[in-house]
Amino acid sequence: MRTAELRLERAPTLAVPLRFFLTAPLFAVAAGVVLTIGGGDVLETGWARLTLGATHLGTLGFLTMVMLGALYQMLPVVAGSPVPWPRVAAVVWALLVVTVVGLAWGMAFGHARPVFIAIATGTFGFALFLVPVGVALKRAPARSDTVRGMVVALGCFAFAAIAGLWMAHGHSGMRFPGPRALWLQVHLSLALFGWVGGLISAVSWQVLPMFYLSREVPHAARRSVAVLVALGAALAVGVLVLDLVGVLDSFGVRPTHVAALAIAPAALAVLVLHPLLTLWALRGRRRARVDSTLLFWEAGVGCGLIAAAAAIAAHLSSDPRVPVLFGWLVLWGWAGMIVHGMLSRIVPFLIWLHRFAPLVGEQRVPSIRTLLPDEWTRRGFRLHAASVVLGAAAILSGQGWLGHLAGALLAITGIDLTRSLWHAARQRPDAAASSDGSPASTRSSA
Amino acid sequence: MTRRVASDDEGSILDFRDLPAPEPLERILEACAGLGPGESLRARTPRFPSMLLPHLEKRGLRFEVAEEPDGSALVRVWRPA
Repeated sequence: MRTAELRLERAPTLAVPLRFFLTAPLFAVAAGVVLTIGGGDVLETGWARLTLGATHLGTLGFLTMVMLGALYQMLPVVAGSPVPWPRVAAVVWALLVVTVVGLAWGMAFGHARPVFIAIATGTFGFALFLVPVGVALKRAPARSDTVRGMVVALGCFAFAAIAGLWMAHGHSGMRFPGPRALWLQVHLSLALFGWVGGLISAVSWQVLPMFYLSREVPHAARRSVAVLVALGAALAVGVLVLDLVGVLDSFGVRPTHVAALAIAPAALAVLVLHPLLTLWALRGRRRARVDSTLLFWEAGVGCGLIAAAAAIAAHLSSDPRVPVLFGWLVLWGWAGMIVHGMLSRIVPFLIWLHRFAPLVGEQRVPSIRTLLPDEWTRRGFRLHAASVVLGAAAILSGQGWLGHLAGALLAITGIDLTRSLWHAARQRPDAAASSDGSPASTRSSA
Repeated sequence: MTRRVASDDEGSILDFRDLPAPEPLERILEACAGLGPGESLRARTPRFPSMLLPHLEKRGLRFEVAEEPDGSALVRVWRPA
């Protein structure tokens, strides 16, 4: 018998990833509330305080929260190496919550003390996450394309976090480490393309065939994505190092242009190459029936391609709306859609696997489709898609009321997702069900 | 929907290659519940059935898995006599 590809027996307890997954949508709600209140002001420029606060609610509170939970779940299963000291995950979660709240609040309202607290909790929290995960990866017997992609993504996360925490000093009454525009560009690039994009692509090599019976992307193509992400990230970090030692100015070009060129391989990989590979893989699916979570993947990678065009336009055009459009599309269109869809698929799957799979054949158990009705997922997709479209329209038209509306829809999307996930999480086997096949084999816990 | 694939030796093969995770696991475990001592079944799954094997072990079932060139797998499960 061949060695198993997935080592489910090494999976952590359900609570480990679940607390991350159930918390994340609340930060999408918070981001939507900020946008609802601020309206067009939040979507005029990436430098506005409310925009910075809302952005970090999305990138750290929603995306990173889900991604940390996903890594705790997937690393032991895919890499065959349990993450040591699993109880630390609860501490990491708590510190991340405090970090996001402190950072967003401090940035949005110009208060130094919450940011100062966030720097401390973020430093400890990220270290408490990275060290055990790093140990697990070092010990991992499996070196698949997914594992290699995770290594690259985690490296980018570490550098993005260091740059971000260092820059946060500038928001807490201390100094920025260097030219703000350059450090912001590199921090954003590493976080979005290296961390978020790197992990999305790595995870997709596993989940698309597993959940959607897609074609397997050829090994050479998968490896290319990881190599390009790693190359772009290394070059971007190199640009910061050159700036720190005072060499960058001697090139005679704008540092932000150098940084943009440096990260270009990674951006190309995650916003163009990976979306095209994903669409190709999904076109060759064995199964014709459409799972509504698939809509999120298709819309998400579609937004990635549009965002790539916006990124190019942002460097060629002086129109200040274009960089904001890029940021909106890449956060809530590309990454946000994909992560929303994955939550809707993964949470019911984990709950069914932990609570119901052991009982199959011994008592009647619900189908996984009943844990989270497909119509609920489809409704969540419509809400999310509408908020992305309205947000883009608000940016391009400059109409503030569209921004308020986009924010309201984003908040409602977060509330809807929270409700859906909690509905699935409350499903438990009926302890009173007998083995003679009595019906009503689920109940919702109080 | 379950297809039964005709085989060239005894018994038919349950075909779950068109089902996404975790449905193949669910269907196979349901089918295994009816196995008596010495009885066996065979099933095709879309990928190597990693999730299934620990559940079979916990139920005291024995199994063999053969990977096919197209990435699918043929699983044989039996209850010891």
